[in-house]
Parts: sequence; C-alpha cells; structure tokens
Amino acid sequence: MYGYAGKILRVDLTRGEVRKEPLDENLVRRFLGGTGYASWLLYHEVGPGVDPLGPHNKLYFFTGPFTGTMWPQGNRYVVTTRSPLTGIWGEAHAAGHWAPALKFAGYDGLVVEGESPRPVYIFISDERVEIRDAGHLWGKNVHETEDMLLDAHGDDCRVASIGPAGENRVLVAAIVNDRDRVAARCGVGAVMGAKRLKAICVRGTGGVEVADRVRYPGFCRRMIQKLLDDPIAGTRVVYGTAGLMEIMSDIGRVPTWNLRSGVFPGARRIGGRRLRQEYLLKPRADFACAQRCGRYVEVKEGPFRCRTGGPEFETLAALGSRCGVDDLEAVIYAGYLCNVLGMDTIGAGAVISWAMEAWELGLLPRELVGDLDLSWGNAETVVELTRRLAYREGLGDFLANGSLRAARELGPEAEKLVMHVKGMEIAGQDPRGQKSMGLAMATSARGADHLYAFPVLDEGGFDEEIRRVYGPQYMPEMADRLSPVHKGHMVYVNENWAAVVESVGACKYGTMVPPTLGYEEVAEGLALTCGLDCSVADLEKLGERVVNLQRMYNVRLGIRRAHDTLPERLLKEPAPDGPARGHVVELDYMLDEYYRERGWREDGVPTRERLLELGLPELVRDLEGVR
Amino acid sequence: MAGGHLVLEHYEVDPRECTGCRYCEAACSLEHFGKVAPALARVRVRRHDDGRDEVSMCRNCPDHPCVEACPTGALSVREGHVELERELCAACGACGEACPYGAVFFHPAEGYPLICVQCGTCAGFCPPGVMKLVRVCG
Repeated sequence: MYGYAGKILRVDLTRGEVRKEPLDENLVRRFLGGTGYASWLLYHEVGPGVDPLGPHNKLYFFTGPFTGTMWPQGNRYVVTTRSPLTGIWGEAHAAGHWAPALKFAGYDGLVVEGESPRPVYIFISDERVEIRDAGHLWGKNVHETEDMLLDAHGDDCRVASIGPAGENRVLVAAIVNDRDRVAARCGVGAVMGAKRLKAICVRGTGGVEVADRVRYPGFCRRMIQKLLDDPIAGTRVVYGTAGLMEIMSDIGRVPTWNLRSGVFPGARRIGGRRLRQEYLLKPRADFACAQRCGRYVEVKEGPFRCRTGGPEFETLAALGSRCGVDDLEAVIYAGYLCNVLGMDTIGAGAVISWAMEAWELGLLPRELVGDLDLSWGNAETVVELTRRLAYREGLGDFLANGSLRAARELGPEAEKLVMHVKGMEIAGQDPRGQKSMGLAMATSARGADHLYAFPVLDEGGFDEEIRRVYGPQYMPEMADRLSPVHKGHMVYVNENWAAVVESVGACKYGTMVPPTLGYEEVAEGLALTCGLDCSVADLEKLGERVVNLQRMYNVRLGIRRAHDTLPERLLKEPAPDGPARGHVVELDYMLDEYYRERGWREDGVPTRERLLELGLPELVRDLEGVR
Repeated sequence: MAGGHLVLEHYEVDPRECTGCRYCEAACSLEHFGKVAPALARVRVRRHDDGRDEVSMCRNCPDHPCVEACPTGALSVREGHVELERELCAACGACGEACPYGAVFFHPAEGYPLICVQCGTCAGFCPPGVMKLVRVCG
C-alpha cells in the first residue's frame, strides 16, 4: 500500500501481548488515517461505560498517509482516547520526528490497551516490539527519560513519553515527543500514566513508498514553494506563533486575567518581537517542515535560566496574559517546566488563572492556597504552581483535576469563573473579539478548543482568501470578526476540512492559515503518494463523515445543544476594552446556522438521513433512544 | 586517484542555519532508493541541545580517505564522486572509520556503505536554501 506502512500495532499492557494487524483498506477508503481512522476504532472499542483512567480505555497513536513523506509538515500524529478531563471524545496532536519514525518502523498506528501492573515502556525497532520494565524511568522528567532511552537503545531512536504530571494522573498532563513537541490536550498524558506506560521508544529503518515516483518530487517541490511564497508563512518564520501575542491583543482577542479582558497591556513585553530580539536561538523545524514556526530559545541567566522549544503563542497567552504576567523570562520558564514535566501549557495556565481570580474574589480558602501569593501577575507563583500541579503538591493537587472539578468543590460562584466548554479549558482566544472562535469552541468535539475548526480567516486582512475558500457571497460579513453572520457556515466548512487535514497527517499551518494547500492539493497528493483516487467532493464528504462520527461518540455520551455553550462571562459580560468593547458572543444565532449547515436536529443530534448520506450506517442504531 | 578531475564539488551547511527539517534525508532516500527512508539517506541531520542542527554530509575530500581505506577496492572515484561497486564490498566498515566528517552511513539491513554521489537532490529541496555548493581543487 503506497503511502502507508500497511500495519497497525496493538500492545496489550494487561496481558503483556503484542499483536500486528493489517491496515483495513475499507477503513482507509472511508477515513484515510489519523483522526478519522482512530476515531472509528475508538467508537467501536471504547464504549460509554469505560472509565477513561481504567484499563479498558485505549490510546490510539495514529499517523496519516502524509506522515513520514515529503508533503510539507508531513510529520504529525494524533493520539485519540476517551478523555479523563472531559469524559468525552478526546484527542491531542503533535509534530516532531517520532511519528515518521513509527511509520518507518512499519506501523501506521499504535493502539495501547490494558493497564500494566508496574511501570513499563514500549520499545519498537522495526519488526521487534517489546514491553520493557521502566522502573528506572518512573519519576524522571521528559528530558531525562529521552536521554536514558537514547543511551540504552541508540540515538537513532525517537521517544514519546510522559513526565511526572502524567504519572500522577494530572488531568492536564500531556505526552511529549522529541523533547518539546507536545500532544497536549484532553489529559492524554494522564491516560498513559494510568496505564503505567512511561514511554514509547521507536527506531524505524524502513521507509514509505510513493505511488508515482516520477511526478512526486516535483509535486512536493511545488507545494513547498507555494507555502514559502505566502507572506503569512514568511512572517511565521520570523516570529513563530509568538508574533500573534501583539496582534491578538490589538484586536482584543488575547485572554487576559482569566478572560476578563481581551486586551493585555503587557503584550509587547511578552510578544514575538521581543522573544526574537532577546531570546531566540533559532527557528526550528520538524520532519519535512518547510515553515519552521518552531522556536528554540534560551534564557541565559537568572532564576529562569533554561533552553527550550517554544514558547508558542498559546503558552504566552496561558501562562502570561491570562495570569496577568508580563515577565517573559518567567513565562518561558513556566513553558519549559510544562515541557519537561509533561503538561499542557494551555491547561496549566488556565487552571492557574482561574485560581487567581477565585482567590481575588475570596472564593479560594487560605488553607488550600498555602504559602502562595495568587495576585494577578505574580510570575514566581505561576512558575511554582506549574511545578506543584505536575507533582500534585498542595494547591497543585486541588487543581490537578482541571478547573471545573476544583470549582465544583467550592460552589456555583467559583464554577461561574471557570472558562471552559465541556470541562476543557478555553485556549488563547477571547471570542468576544472574534465571534467565529466562540462558535468553534462551543461545537468542538473535544471541548473548548480553537483548533478543531480553527476559524482564523476573519481575524482580519484575509478578504481574498475568504472569497477563494468560502465564496464571494459571504463577503463582507464573514470577514468582520465582530459579526456573527455566516460564522455557522465558516465553522462547518472548517471543521470538515480540519478533519481531512488531521486524517492525512498534515499540519493546519499551510492548509488552514494560510489556506495555501487545499482540497485539490491534498487530492493530488493522495493520488501521487498513495495511488488513491479521491475527488475534492469525496474528501469534503470524508471530512464531514469524521466530524459526524466524533459527534456521535459524544451524543452517545449524552452531549446535546445545551453542552455546546460558553461560559456566562463570554455570553453576557461585554468585553471591557479594545476594539471588541461592548461585545458579547451571539452564540445561539451562530449555533442555529451551524446545525442547519450540518443537517442536524435543533438539539445538536445528527439525523438518521445525514448519517446514511455520509456513509455511516453502522451508527444509526445509536440514534435509537436518543431524546 | 581523482580521475583527472581538477575541481571537486560538495555541499556544506552551517549548523546554525539548518532548521533540522530533514528534507535532505527524505529527498536523498527517495532519489536513490525510491522511498522516503531516512535510514537509507547519504546525509543525516542531528539535533543538538545548544541549538545546532548538525548536517553530516560528504565533503568529497580531495584525498578521499574512504576510498583509500577500502581493502577490497569496492570504492573508487568516478566522474568527480565516490562510487561503490557492491559486489566487491565486504561491508567491513573501514570507509566509515576513515571518514573525517562522519558522513559514511551504512545500509541498515545489508551493511554496505551509503556514500554521497554529489547529485545535489538534497540541496534542491532544502526549504531555507542553506546548503551551499562548494568547489575545491582536487
């Protein structure tokens, strides 16, 4: 099978068994790979009764047909599971070199099942797969773990591991590969920790064959050039995503003081320009990445001395503006701690900023807080609390199950301050400054999330792209970030496309912003790489199929329109500052349009007809009894 | 030894400019083995904690120590680059030990050396365009 390794590896940690099964060609035709394929397996193998931290939950590490190829940024994997943070469909994604290595070893996907009685790691060297004792690795941070495994198995291996946060089942724990590439969200690290799986160390000496060897190199060169010629990609090389800090504050969209405001007065002090001038060692790329938005930075001296990948915009927003912190070195260091301790920077920053607000309002008892000063902007506290979160020490333990669970112990006033959807903390967007983001967070299958739909073309300055991607009939309203008009359509289109991107193993940068490589390019890529004959219409339908599959996973768990909502603050409290001043999110208006576009019922449940049209007849029976 | 060629070409990269994307590895293996398989590439990128992405690639040395070291005569210089005659190769690894740049790699299954033939495919793919062609009098 061109473009694919052709096999899936299953490792059962309860039985200590390794199985290999052929990739299902029928499922490839329906879902391609990545999020689509993994979600299908999750739907059928991890039912509603499964405890996310119990032995019957599974972790699906999946690549796509473009992973480990020369498609620009063809380096990604998804890890799909039932999330312990939200209790619903969960997934995290990462770039790096680990996923290509898994594919070169001969596996399109790795399914981790069961639960080991003691710490173990999985060692994969092509055909050879072993479950090995990890007693000596347990308790080590991510960097120590990688160093020890590379010492033991050779530096041509690649490692994905958890840190102390995952071991301690912190619900914002991540899985980290290649030292600082992070599958961050949904508490995937806690699931791995609950299975007592410390790491997956992979050596792959095989390769990916492509269907059309003659035309493929020229095609890839053309795709790379197309990307590099785009001015947005050019800016990203210079500033990374960190450059968004200043821009997002200017448009009133950067979460500040737990989303009280979308404008951060310290934005320039923690922004991309300063990061570049004072701390950047170099822009870095992952496997087959043409854009190199990754930063590698160094704080040379002082208490926050470190060298680390990042910080991304999301990290600057979560551990910076959201907590009112304008000390860039402290934010870099807190981000570094998240990387080495194995945590989602967004989740960590979000729970800390919630605690800061609850403290300010007198809702967080002194005995929980201990010796910490939770005043807004206290950089030392953010750094120390990040560490305590990972180790579940003191207040860190209270916060380690996410801000919603912590707030519920304190009462409804504290719960109102939780900036979440479906239990997952909102990322670096105050949607009062960009309405489409509000809808995207509400409908995302994994809970509050900017990436599931990633509507970014209404941020400003993308009028031409909007005409091209959505059509001129949606102008000028769609380009107006403060207007809710046509945003239901925008999120609908984006979710479908994002599902295709995550199914082939590509990156949203270059496919969504800038929207340089689209359906036609992916269709051509699939033909040349895999020999698959997929039309644009086939791919559009495939993306929609995946979104409906993921929605049905959640519907089966009771998710309805009432859950597709936002915190009261964003729906009722007008933005206090900046260009969005006076705005709230008009969610119901957008949600109505979105459900119409989807062909779902008004309560957010897919219809039988829609599921049949999309080629999901197996799911229809799960509509029975749905009220 | 140099087959009468007066000018030898090779590529070089400043490890501070390389972004570590490994397109060179991918392109090399596709060109010579018909698949994206970095373990078969004749160029390798190694990431260091100090921020360097070190590219190990053949410098096409004027004195060709790899060729000199080969005990079976499997390596020779032809048309300005090192060529391997596989049927003569004993997979002894002497060429790799002789290479001052760590730029001789070995086929993971069959053990024979993978030595750059200066085709330039890697440089043609390098997204930041930092592989520089160097000409040295042989």
